[in-house]
Amino acid sequence: MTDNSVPSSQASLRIVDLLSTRRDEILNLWIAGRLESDDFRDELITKIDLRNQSRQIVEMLARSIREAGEADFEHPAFDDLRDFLNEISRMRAVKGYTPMENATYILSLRDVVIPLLAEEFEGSSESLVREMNYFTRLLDKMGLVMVDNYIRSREEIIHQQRADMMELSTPVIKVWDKILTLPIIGTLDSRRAQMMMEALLQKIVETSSTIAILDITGVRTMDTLVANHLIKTVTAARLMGARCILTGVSPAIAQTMVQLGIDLSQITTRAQMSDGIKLALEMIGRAVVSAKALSQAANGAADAANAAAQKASALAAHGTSITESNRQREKETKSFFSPMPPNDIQQ
Amino acid sequence: MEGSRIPILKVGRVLIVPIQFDMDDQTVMLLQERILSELERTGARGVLIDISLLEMVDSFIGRVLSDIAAMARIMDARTVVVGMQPAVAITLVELGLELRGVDTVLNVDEGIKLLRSEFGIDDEDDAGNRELSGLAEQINRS
Repeated sequence: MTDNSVPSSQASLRIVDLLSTRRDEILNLWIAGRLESDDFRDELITKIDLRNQSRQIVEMLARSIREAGEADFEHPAFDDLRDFLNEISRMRAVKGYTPMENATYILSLRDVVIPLLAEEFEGSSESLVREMNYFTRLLDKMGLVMVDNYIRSREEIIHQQRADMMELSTPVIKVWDKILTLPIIGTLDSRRAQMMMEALLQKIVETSSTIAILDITGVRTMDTLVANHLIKTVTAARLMGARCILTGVSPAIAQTMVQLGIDLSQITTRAQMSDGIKLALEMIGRAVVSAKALSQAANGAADAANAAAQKASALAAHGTSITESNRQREKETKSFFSPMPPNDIQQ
Repeated sequence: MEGSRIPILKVGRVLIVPIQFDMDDQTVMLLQERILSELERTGARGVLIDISLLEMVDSFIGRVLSDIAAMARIMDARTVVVGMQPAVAITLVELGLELRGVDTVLNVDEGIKLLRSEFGIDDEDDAGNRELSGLAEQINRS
């Protein structure tokens, strides 16, 4: 508990009276000090908010000290205050304060309170030192809580952002029937590579795609580890029955890969994503042609068909003329040999 | 013996082997022998091993699959492994097994397509049909 071993002289703590009776005075001084300092950034917090926050802190501090006696900051009486500080520092972390600004905000209360406290005590220096010690210790703890929580909040934000990035960073896009693309951007660490591989393989199953295009245009640096991840992904996709095409290899990466002695002979590579798509289409038996060429080809085919049709109709006409003449002849024969049954007549 | 419970179906000139449960080493060895003897007996030209229901492929099974492919190749038959699960593929890659020499495809459909187009292995029926149509053409021409 308290290390200056003064047991429960709660009632006599002058600091409590000071904090409650001269609250507004303290507040004014504290906030004035804050506003003058370089730390105050009115784009981050309004004066009214700052005042409200500060008032709550002073009030809670007075109440908690009264309840706690001279106990340390870990005492349950300070729970509310601690929670409130946590909340403030989280808000400040989100808004972009630095940790130093955060701690200074609380610690600067000391510069306001200590002179007033000295005024209160006037002569009795022994009690002044005791209460001053106590109050400073409290404020130090509060400052630490602020910093600690600030860092924790920051880490939470970073974690959150990393999770977001993870999700965003492994998009598997179906560009055509049976063709997937996987644009890789940024650096590939093991975790990301693993996620990427899983996402790709899952998508291959879902869409029953047979070709995957891995585009590394957005990958700035390549080392053996990253290359290994790529090769693993390609091999796993192959085991499932999908072929991979690696595209967007920049000159720098090509140089590094060869210098590192990475063997990519197993992997089909193309310079650009568009080449990859073209190759993929070829692999599934399709081709990209210009509209003009297509229409020409179609016209050619139509011409050929027309010609063929003309030929056919000419032939048919010829045929009918033949049959006509045949029929004519038949008639003549019939009339010639009238008793002949008609179904014996064949062309 | 569990190994003899795995069916080996002859469809046209292709043997289809759907593996439906995780195998131990003996089972997979027995399967290898059965596939090879079926190849000899039926004169099939292709083997299609469906492992889409397998959740575990260890290094031994992986090696035996490669072996089957190599052995069947000597007996003039092509082997296609079909429908590997993502988790299995990842495990094999982590183990450093690439199943070299084995053709892997997504599903049975693709497997049959591959055997037909790439390796020219046709169904007997198809071959028969083609012969018939060739014959018909000849008749027409004469």
